[in-house]
Amino acid sequence: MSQLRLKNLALGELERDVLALLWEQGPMNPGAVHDQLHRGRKVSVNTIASALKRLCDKGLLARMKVSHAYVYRPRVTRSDLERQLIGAVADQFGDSAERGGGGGLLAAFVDLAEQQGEDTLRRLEALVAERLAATADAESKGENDTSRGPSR
Amino acid sequence: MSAIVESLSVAVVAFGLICWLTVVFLSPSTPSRQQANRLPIATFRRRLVARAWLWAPIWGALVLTFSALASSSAGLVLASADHCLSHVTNAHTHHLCLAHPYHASTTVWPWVFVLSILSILAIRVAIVGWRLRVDGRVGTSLAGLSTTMADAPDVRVIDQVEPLALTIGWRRPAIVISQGLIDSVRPETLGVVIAHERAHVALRHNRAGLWDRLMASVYPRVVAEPLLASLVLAREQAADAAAAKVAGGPLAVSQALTEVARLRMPGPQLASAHGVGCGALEVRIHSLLKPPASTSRWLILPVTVVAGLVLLGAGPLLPLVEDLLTYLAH
Repeated sequence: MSQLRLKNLALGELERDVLALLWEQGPMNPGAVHDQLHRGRKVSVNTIASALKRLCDKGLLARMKVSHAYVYRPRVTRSDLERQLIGAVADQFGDSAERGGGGGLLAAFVDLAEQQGEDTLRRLEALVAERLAATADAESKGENDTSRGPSR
Repeated sequence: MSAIVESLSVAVVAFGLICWLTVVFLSPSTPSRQQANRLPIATFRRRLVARAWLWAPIWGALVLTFSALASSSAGLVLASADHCLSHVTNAHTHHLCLAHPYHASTTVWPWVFVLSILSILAIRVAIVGWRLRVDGRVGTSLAGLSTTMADAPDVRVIDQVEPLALTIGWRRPAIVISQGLIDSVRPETLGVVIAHERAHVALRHNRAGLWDRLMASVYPRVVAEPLLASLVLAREQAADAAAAKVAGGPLAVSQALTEVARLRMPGPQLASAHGVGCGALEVRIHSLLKPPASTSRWLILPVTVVAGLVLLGAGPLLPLVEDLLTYLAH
């Protein structure tokens, strides 16, 4: 699948719902999509058709004419789209100052852009292991002291 | 009244420009100073120092303008005969004084000066704001495509193998965790990760990050990046500390950090053997295991800086800005 442009990855709520429906139920025309989605929200068939057209323009859907109506089908899988979105999110970290990145709209448990150094990571793991061992030792000593009871 | 507004506008912008130049030439932007960002210092101090640099054109301009006005208007309070020296030495100098504002200028140059600088800033902020809006919608798209975690309704799960844990968005931040991470780490580690991300949400880190990012847009990239990196590190440290309180203590958080970092390591053929990375991770783990000694001696420097600014505003910078006012007004 080709790389989508960043602005094409920005999806509105209706666009996400339409995509999710097509992933779940396969190719559909605007009327069928409207039948499925109009219960949860007040949207017209035209609004649904516009959302489908936008998704088509963004490269996320393909369409073919069947009789008088277009039938739309996803051009990307959910997993592919998620992967591209993650790539775009990771870019925000890698290009922080110019694009607003890590200091902007998101925070990651471990910095997505930071290149981990094997030696440093090993050293940190050893440090943590050493502390864990020391804590376990201290705890076992404490338990032994308690089981012996108070000294007289 | 218009004369006061005009002189104050020129003064605030001129002082802001001086502070901006100070940040551009003196802030920690060289590689050696970037290393200083990695020093194990207290989170609060790291955040305060970086944010003070970043926001200097705003707060610095206000402090300098206030001190300049206070010095020139002090005579009013002290009831001296004439509080403005400029009255005596040069009656035509346009000085910053609330009691004796100079007449409004007949030229447009004071406002050209003010509006041209503000326009440049507004354009830069608007460009970055637009990019952030797109980035925000991309993040929201990712969160919107995810599913809710069974036993944690505030956590969203994406069906990806790559181990990821993110807090996305500033208005309604969403915690997004990948299935790959859930499958690869111990339950205790997952608990730490979720506690850490919840701390980001509770402490409104993304909102603060957004404001910092907008402010950083007024600087060249080489100046903004180290300051933003320092603020990101401070936010991560704060979230680590909050997670440690609810999820097993500092040692458990350190263990979780190394475990997730190990998962994110490239294959052996790609890994750096010399350990050039891990800078932020190292600082975070050291801060958790050996918290920096809490001392207030470091406050001497910022207090001295503010006092120095007050003196500068009332001292050498005041005639400089008054000369600029006079030059623009005639």
